[in-house]
Amino acid sequence: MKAAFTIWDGRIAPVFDVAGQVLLVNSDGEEKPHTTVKLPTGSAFEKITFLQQLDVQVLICGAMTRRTALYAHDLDIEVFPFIAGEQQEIIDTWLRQRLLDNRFCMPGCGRNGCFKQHRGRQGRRGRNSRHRLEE
Amino acid sequence: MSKERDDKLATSTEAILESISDGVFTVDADWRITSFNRAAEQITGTSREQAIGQRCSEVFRSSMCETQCGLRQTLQDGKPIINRSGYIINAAGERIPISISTAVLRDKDGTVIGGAETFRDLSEVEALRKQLKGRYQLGDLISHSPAMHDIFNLISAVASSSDTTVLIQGETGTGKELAAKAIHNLSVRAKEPFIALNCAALPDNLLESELFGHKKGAFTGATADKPGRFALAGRGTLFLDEIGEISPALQVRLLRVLQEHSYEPLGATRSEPAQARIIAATNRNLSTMVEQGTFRQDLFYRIQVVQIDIPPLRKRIEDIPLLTEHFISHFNRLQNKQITNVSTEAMACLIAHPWPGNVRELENVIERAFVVCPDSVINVQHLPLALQNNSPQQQTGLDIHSTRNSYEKECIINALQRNNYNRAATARELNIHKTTLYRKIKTLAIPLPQIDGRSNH
Repeated sequence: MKAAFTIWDGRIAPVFDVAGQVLLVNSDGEEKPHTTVKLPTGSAFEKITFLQQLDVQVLICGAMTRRTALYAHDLDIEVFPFIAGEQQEIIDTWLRQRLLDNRFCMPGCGRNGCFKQHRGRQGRRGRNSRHRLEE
Repeated sequence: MSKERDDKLATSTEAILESISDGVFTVDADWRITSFNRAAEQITGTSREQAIGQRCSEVFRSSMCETQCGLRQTLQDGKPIINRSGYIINAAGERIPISISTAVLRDKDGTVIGGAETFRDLSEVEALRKQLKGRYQLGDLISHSPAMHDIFNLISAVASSSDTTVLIQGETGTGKELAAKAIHNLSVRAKEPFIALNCAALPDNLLESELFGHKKGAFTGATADKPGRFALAGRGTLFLDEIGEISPALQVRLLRVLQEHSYEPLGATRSEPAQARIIAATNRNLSTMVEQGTFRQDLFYRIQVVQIDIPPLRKRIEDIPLLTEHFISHFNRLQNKQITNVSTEAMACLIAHPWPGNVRELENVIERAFVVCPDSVINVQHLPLALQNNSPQQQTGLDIHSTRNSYEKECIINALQRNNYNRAATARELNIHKTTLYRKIKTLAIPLPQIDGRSNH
């Protein structure tokens, strides 16, 4: 499974819409180097479409609008928005399948914040399963 | 005594910060939030307890944080920033338009201890502005003009039928490629590639190879297989600009592709399927070319299943202020400048210009003005000389009122013609009361035909 982490200054980039680059991480068990890819400078939708073209299945990012999240959902990209923290720590935690706890939520986006997502369910589709975004 | 005074000052400052409607937060040298007022809590949806001690970029979540951080800039050069525009994403996943101002925080000894940022929620202002503008937007195309609104509706309708070939006609710089992209992006082919090719940019034999691709050894120098634009477009959209410039031989080949939905790369022995949707564009009148025998009639009918005619800018001068504002905000973002608007005199010059290069020419004029304008307002002297000659000062006997009257007169005449001289419909389109329209028709001496248009509606 290929995951993209929006990164800036060694941490998860604060806002997906203006993020400049992603780190692509494969979690298929094989040790592969992580690749950094520049994101297109256009709209958030263009960035999502670009990630889909890279066969990204999971996106871990900072703040994201509800519309963008739904668009990603439609393109079958599983999104973990409003994540904050050191880039390496987040990647390691995701690889250990333990991303979904409030430890990495942005301030103000705790258990019931930010889209009221059902965080904490993992493994339905393998690693870090899709969490539904409520309208 | 001094401590008591300091405490009182701190309390009253705190009370002021709590009472204002602008969000205010302060950061220390490590970009951690040290104070967060009540309005900041409301606008961001994050409580003070959650915000304090956290990194400001992860609490504020602004479009400016990554590359245009106002606080970082202020702390570097010591200069405050006033009213920089952007947006934040609140905890509910909503985009909130804001403007920010920044200042350096110093202690009693004058040592920099961090920065302060105030921000204003512009949601209501933005909603009102959109309501007042009543502008239409589709993809990157924007317009006030009802004529363009009809085109936007046609584009949406064409996009929903994913295989129809489309011909877009319009003068150079009117936005034909933007219209083609809008069709592509609104269609089910949006996830597939959009490939554009300017047919006038290449000589005929190269164009053929560029369109259909070639096999290794097809001609001298063909050392490897090369996919053509048809192959690159796949199931997406192939945009053929300046279609009127292709040779009769290539017209035949293209006609065959459109009829048989397959093509042969140069040097190939087998056909490849052509699955891309074709959108063609031209700045020439293809039906006249057909009459003159320079463009094949059968190909013309193949590509002109749906025809979209984009009007030139001089026929929709009501769009000039809107497009000017759009380009100003575009270049402000791109060049990190703070130009706010265009002076009345400069706008009069822009409106009086015939715009042979259309929207692209207007974009270039604004970009040029950004280079030469050191202030926040673009004035006549920042425009190219050719446009300055349109200045009311250059035209004897034409003051700003006459210019405005002439502009209004043209707008009203155009609207009347579009509405077949139906006054009520014209007033509705212009968003003015019917009596205002009658008054303007009288004062501007607008000639009216005998019919009033009601019988035709």
